[in-house]
Amino acid sequence: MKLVPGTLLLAVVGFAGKVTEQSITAYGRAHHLTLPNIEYVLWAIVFGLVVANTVGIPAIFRAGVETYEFWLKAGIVLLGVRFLIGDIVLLGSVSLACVAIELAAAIVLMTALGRAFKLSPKLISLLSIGSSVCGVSAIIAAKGAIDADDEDASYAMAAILALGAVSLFVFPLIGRALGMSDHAYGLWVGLAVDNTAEATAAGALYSDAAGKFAVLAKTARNATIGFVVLGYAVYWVKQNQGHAIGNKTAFLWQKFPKFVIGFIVISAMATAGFFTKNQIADVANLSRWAFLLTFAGVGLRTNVRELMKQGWRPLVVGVVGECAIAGLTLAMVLIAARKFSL
Amino acid sequence: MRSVRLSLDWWAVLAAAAAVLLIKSGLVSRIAW
Repeated sequence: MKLVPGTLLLAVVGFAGKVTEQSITAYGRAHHLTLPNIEYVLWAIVFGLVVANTVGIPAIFRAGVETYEFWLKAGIVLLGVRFLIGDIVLLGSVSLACVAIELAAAIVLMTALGRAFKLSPKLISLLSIGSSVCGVSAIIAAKGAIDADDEDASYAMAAILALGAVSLFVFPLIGRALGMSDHAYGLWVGLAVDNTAEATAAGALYSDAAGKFAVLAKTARNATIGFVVLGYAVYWVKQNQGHAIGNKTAFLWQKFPKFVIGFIVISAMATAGFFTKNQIADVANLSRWAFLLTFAGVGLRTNVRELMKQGWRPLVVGVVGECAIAGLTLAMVLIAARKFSL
Repeated sequence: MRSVRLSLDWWAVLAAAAAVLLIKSGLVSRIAW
């Protein structure tokens, strides 16, 4: 029951974003005006940001607002209906190949930058994991595994979240300036934006199709979380500063994002012709509604004052590192787009 | 009896599976966007 008020708040803020987009479009059409098409995604995030950073979120709503992550994962599983298994194998493999390069580059870069700015070694590990794999969930998974301080984890999460918020506004502008296709842009966002919710939103801000490909690329990246966290955990055990890992296979399974399995199963069912055309449309629309609540949650849980409080050094390391990673992944995607006609 | 605690990931998968079953069975249809 305690989830109901906050979940309703997510629905109200998200729906307000959708109604605003539709109203502006209808007004422009009725008055023969060419108004900029601002997607419901951005409205939902902005409304959420305004609420969270002005009146704040009363305690009664907080538990429900946190369900945004549940809606994100359920939305991704349902989105599987819009993919054929062949697409997943092709795009997933291209994404994984790019992830492998991005992962190595991000770890080397973040380690060098962190040392230059004299950050603590565990904060450097957390920033490297967060920027190479998948943002906040990877940092939370790694925090326990490498026995990092709460403060270091907060720093790393704040840096990743602040950059995720900026990417929502900057990435679509760069994509448009370069005239990127939906495929290529979605792949880039999935590789460069660290947090899954922000990657989904940054993709959907470009176009519906770009959102779809951003989710696929990000999901491929999420699937590597266990391996990276395990690597760091083993490293810190060797430094005598972490918890020993007993069964490595069990550890990998424990860290594996299970919603990826649901996504693949629904896609396999769609590929096998399990659904009619109308049923596919229904499942896809349900996925959009789930994402609508997620986008409202992205705005509602972003506390600008808290992010500013975290200090400038981790943020500088994050900004410089992320800009370099965004540049590198952009180059990779442009090459992949040419090679695989994305 | 041992209680099993499901992770958020599994809850999301179960909720999506339930929604798919409702749509497939025809109990829920014409979801507008």
